[in-house]
Amino acid sequence: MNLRRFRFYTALYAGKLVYYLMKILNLDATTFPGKVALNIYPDFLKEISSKIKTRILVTGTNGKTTTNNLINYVIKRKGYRVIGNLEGANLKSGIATSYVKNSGIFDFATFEVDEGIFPYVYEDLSPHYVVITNFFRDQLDRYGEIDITVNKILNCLKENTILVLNADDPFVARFSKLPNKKFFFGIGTKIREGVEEIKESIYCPICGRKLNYDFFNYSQLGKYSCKCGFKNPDYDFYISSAIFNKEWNTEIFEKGEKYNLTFKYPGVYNLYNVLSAYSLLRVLNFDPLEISKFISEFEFRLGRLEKFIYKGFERILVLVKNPAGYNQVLDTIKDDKENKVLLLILNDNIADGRDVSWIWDVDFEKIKDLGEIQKIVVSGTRGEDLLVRLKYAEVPLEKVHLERDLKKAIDYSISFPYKTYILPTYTALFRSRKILMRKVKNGA
Amino acid sequence: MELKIYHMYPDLLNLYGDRGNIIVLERRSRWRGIRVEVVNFTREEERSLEDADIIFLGGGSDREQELLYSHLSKFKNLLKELVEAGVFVLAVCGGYQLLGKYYIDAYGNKIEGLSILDFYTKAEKGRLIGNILVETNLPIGLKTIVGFENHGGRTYHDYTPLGKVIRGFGNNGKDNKEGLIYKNVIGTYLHGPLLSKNPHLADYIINKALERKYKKEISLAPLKDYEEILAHERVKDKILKEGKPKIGLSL
Repeated sequence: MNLRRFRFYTALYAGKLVYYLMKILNLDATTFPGKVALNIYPDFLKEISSKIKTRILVTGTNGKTTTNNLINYVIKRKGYRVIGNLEGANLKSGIATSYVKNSGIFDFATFEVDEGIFPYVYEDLSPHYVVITNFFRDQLDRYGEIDITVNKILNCLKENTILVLNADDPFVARFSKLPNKKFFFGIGTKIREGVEEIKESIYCPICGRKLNYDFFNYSQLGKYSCKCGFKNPDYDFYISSAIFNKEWNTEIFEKGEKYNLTFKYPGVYNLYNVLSAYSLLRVLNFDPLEISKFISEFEFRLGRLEKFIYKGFERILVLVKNPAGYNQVLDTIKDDKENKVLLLILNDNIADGRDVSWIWDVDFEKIKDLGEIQKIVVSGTRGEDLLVRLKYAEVPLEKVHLERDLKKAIDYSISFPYKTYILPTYTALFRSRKILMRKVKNGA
Repeated sequence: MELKIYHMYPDLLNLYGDRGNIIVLERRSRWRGIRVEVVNFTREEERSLEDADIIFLGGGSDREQELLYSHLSKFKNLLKELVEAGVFVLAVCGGYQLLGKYYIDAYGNKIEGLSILDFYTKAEKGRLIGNILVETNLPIGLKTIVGFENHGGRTYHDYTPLGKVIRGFGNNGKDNKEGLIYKNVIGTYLHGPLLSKNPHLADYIINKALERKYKKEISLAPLKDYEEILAHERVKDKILKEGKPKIGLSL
């Protein structure tokens, strides 16, 4: 056994040992075992890439976890051996952990990668395919500014990587200048009618003029053009109409053909997620009818509109992490005409972003009339900041309740005879989920 | 009474929820029956600026600041006159840096500022990121100001600072000064947004703007600031527990 192999296997088995110990202790083992492996052998990811035939990375700001899970699920249903970091731990340690707990030889790997560290993971894993969902302002205190992030990804990509790109995001459309083989997806129509308030103008990445928009579908995603000629790249895969009635009903067009597709999860952002996964799977040359069938059967877990039933009412967990996503979730909640309670949880740990000022870019003014919302509970390490934000959005404060302790906040928010929407930031998600699952299990 | 607030380039200088400062100024005025008009000043829709009572400049990314500089520099002299005349200017982060003479970036390039005030900013190694606690000498109820800073540039000046740094970095991480005060100009690195957890500072601005406009002493009706002070105290406790901050990685 040579030294490299020796170090690799030492790292792998040390990681496994840590993984099983953490499991016994009921700890969240999604990153630490991988961290241990990487410490012992820093080239751990390079080594595992040689054990995976086709490697796919998903990056961008929003939708990575859903897109990655969809892709992984369909590949698995097709009967391939596939690995992936499905729980959303998307730094090197999370990717390493997914291999530590499930080592071997694989046909496919689907990894979601944090956009800020993408160049480093790309280098180690040298993927065959990269999917880019979108770029929004997210956790800026870690990465500085969005332009820097986009340029770093743009500059690290090698020519032989095949790209699957969101044509409706002008930030992603910048990648059209690369010589790589590229496939673009998009939505060629306005899905949600009604006024879309866009606070920021978007400027042309080529000439700096203000972009003209025919419509917006989700934050800066939409149909845009500039005097200099910059516009949405031509679609390889696109949706031209979609209706949501308990589930999305839509058709995906490709080269003059069209395929029906249904998907259980609401929100225009989920339409983009499903479209990006579909596009990648088609680029892999999977059968479109099979893809559609598997996608319609996909059930999502892990805090992306994850449903629990407690005392006969739905308790819905939705991760929120930036203004664009938060606004989408608030729209989804407003569209739901049942009585409900909201629990908003804001933490300021490193993985949440230590700067919580982004909540002022969320349009909480949307819910100031409450509608079917019976109560809003705020919690988390910075629950007070949410309280202030709601006060200035002029939400009636007698309907708002601050409870610092997360467990008590969950108990209180599910004590009402209504549906509950629970909106945690990243580090509050796993604890909220655990508390809820225990509640559901015990039933009281 | 009424106030006119100019929000400068809300489409470009829009990082870190700084538009929250406008929301706070608008609501706190309106809750007291003071009418507020918020005017968006953009490259596409040039306004006169001359009837401004409060001018707000937020921070943007380097690229965005470059995009607007040539436009804003046309208003340089006017802005200077307004500042001398006592119009209230609140400038945060990138907006604060713009008020000075120049900015030296990480590659040593000298980028011109508006030269409204005599100071400069220089990019140095490491970003100054984290919660910050400042003690101010302004005649306002609470003496502490809390916020979040995130900047690579270090600002050096001899004006009165907004306050003394208790925890955090402030202007440059060296001289314990945060921000700047000159007449009715406040420059600061504090996000959060600044006014959301410092209602006393928001009221100071509203008060000063009204007094200049109506040329008389004004005392604002007090508001119940229970929620704001709760948030202020919570983050203050947190900052004091966190201990001394470390300089972040350069990008």
